[in-house]
Amino acid sequence: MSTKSKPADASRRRFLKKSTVGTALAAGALNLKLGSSQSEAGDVTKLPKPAFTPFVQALPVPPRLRDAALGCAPGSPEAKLCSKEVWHGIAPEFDPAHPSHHPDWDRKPLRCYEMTYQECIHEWVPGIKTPSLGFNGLVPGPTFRARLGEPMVIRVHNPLDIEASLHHHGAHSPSHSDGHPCFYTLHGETRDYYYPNCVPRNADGSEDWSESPSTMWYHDHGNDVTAHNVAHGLAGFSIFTDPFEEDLIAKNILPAIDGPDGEHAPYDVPMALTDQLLNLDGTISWDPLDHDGRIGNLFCVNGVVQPFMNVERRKYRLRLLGCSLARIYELRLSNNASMLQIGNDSWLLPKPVTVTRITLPPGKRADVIVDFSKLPAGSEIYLENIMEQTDGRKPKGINTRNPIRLVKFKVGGGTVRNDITINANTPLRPHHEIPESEIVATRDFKLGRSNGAWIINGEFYSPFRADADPLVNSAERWNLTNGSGGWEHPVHIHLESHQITKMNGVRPREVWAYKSDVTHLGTNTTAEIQMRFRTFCGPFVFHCHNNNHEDMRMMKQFEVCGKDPVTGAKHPPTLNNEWFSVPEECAGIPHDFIKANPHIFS
Amino acid sequence: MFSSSPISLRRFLRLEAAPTQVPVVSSKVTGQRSNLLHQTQIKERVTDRFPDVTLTNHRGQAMRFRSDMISDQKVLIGFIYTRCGGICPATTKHMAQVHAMLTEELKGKFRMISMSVDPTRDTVDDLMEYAADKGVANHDNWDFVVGSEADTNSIRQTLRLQDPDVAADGQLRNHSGMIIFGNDRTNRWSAIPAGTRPEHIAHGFLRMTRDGSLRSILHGLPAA
Repeated sequence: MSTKSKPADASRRRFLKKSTVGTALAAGALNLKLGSSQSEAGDVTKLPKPAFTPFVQALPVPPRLRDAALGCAPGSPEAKLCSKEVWHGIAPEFDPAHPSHHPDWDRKPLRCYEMTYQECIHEWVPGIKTPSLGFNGLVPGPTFRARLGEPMVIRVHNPLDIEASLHHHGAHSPSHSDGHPCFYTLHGETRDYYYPNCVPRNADGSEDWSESPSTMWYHDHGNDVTAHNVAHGLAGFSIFTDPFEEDLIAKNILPAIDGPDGEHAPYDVPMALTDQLLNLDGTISWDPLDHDGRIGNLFCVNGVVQPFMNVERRKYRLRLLGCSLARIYELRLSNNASMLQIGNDSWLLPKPVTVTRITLPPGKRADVIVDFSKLPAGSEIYLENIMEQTDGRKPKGINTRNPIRLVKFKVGGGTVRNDITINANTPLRPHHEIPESEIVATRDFKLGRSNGAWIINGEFYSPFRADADPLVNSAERWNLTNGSGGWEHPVHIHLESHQITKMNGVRPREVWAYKSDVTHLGTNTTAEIQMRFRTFCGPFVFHCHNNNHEDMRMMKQFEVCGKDPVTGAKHPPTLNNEWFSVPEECAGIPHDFIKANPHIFS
Repeated sequence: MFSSSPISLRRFLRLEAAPTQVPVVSSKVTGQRSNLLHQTQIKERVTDRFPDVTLTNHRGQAMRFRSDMISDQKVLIGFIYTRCGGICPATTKHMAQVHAMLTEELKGKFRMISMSVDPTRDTVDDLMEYAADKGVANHDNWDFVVGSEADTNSIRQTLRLQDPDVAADGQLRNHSGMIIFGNDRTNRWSAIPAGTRPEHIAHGFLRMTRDGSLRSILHGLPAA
């Protein structure tokens, strides 16, 4: 059966005092007509930047988020909704009596962590002290490290006077803890983010281990303020393993993830790619009136501009993350050597794909094996970006003559023992295509632009409207279309992986042909995807991951709807059904709007 | 039709009332909370770049864009032209609904500006007639304004309202449907499409313009 969706509704230490008013006025006076030529000021890449010497700073690897003893137990009366300790409480699914709560979620003891949105001084450029925002004061934030099946609660405090919502990007989480943009943790408030760290279940009740994630990340997702918050540093890695991947590590097919000190092991390296823009006084350059997409001219990896990394003559696993707001990277090694891509977004591929280039739009991850063993000791190669982009609309195109070097790898000497054994034929995580017979609905979503902002199917995002109402544990086909020739939109869908079956009518490139959580829509592109909506009911979002576009409402909401246990009929989307009937203080969504509009949800 | 909803705005007003209430966060995990940003001075205001050009409101009064209408105020700015058969009527209607909600909540501590993007045709009389037709001509804190073509473009450029696609920008009907709002005291500015529901606009305005917000001290504007 196929039904069309019905839209249910800083030079260094030099502090400049500049009078820019005159400049703006002068520039404005030149444009006497609507539609007169645009100023060239759009090319931020040509803006002055703090002076620095590239490749003298070692690549930092974020520390792990360490277990914490919480003041009061998650889910306890002291930590309940609207409590003094934890204003937003915890996901209803935390309760073992909740219908979605599977007993298996409690096989392992609960691990507890604490994280705080903090102001910090961060040196994006060595020696330049930049007021930034970091989780626990770190940029990037501390890395989550968990094993599938180990439930965790992260108690998140927001003492800052900004709106906050922590999104665990690529994770399979309850709506309450997914980082829905309107489930704010406001100034002075706290929320217990419950992650059962489960995999979804197949129709026969067995666990779908093909959905087990490897490389995830987390970032702020506050409605209207995501771009601001991420640009200031609110992002970090989340690295998971399951028995399958642990077996690959035990067999020395993949390198170890965990060092003996509990920190990250040396041959598995997460790399968050960010393009930062600083003023000459060292402050972050942020234009609140720019909605095209923020482009920077300082190429940072793990929060540091153009670092170097000493490598041994062996294979490394690099987990590349497109952590930029609007920049789309086309990555290669400066010696044009091939790499083995073993994962796309959160998930390992069924088998490695040999690549020489990697396209990395905002939000996307590429998990790759780089082999330095053939290089002579003392050689230096770079990870480079060859995609030229000067504004937030779209890249200008590949420019191989002027590559931007991101990281320098300095190849050391010495004897290498126990190099990992992965090769192009190593079987990785089995993939199961969603069969046609499972698809119960097809929906079309057309992304566009309207009067200076962005729309999907002609509408701006509304948190009080379910734009799609998939039935829990069912599958659907979505056609995502970017009809524009002028803009590109990387679309991120929450809750679960989706499978891209076609890009403009043909099978997508191999690395994107399995599981994704970001589908990049280039200009005039239609992607046909299929996706299951399992385990959790409630509102989730999908949106353009150009964070400025997302803030300007290029977002849609789907509410996963449960079934009536007696009649088997699908519950209508309500956004405040029985298990989601939380006060507005919990969600951040003022439910009285919903109650005032029952016809929208009937 | 949905009703305005004072209850839904309560949370943000609670924050407004107590901007300095910062909870003690477990120092074991997070360390001492930094006061860094509170101590940092705003070096450059977003509004420093707004042109201080003279506009005329629908009552025929001359008003300077930055010094009279924006400096030290909470402002919500929409863009219209009186002959518009597209999004302008909805923009003004939504702004009127927002005005009703905010007036109830904020008791007049904000200003609204509806700026004409058709300065060669829109006259003061046109603006008065338009405002009267929408039933909002008599709000003291709401001005419908028009300026010279050069000044209008200067404002459009400063507020980043021009479409980067020159052909699209040349068509009046494509003019920006954004509502820009901010609080010059906290230096915090944002925008929202005028086509979103008035509740969202009111929400965004209340959240982002509340006094006590410190966020914009964090950064400066890109070099002009």
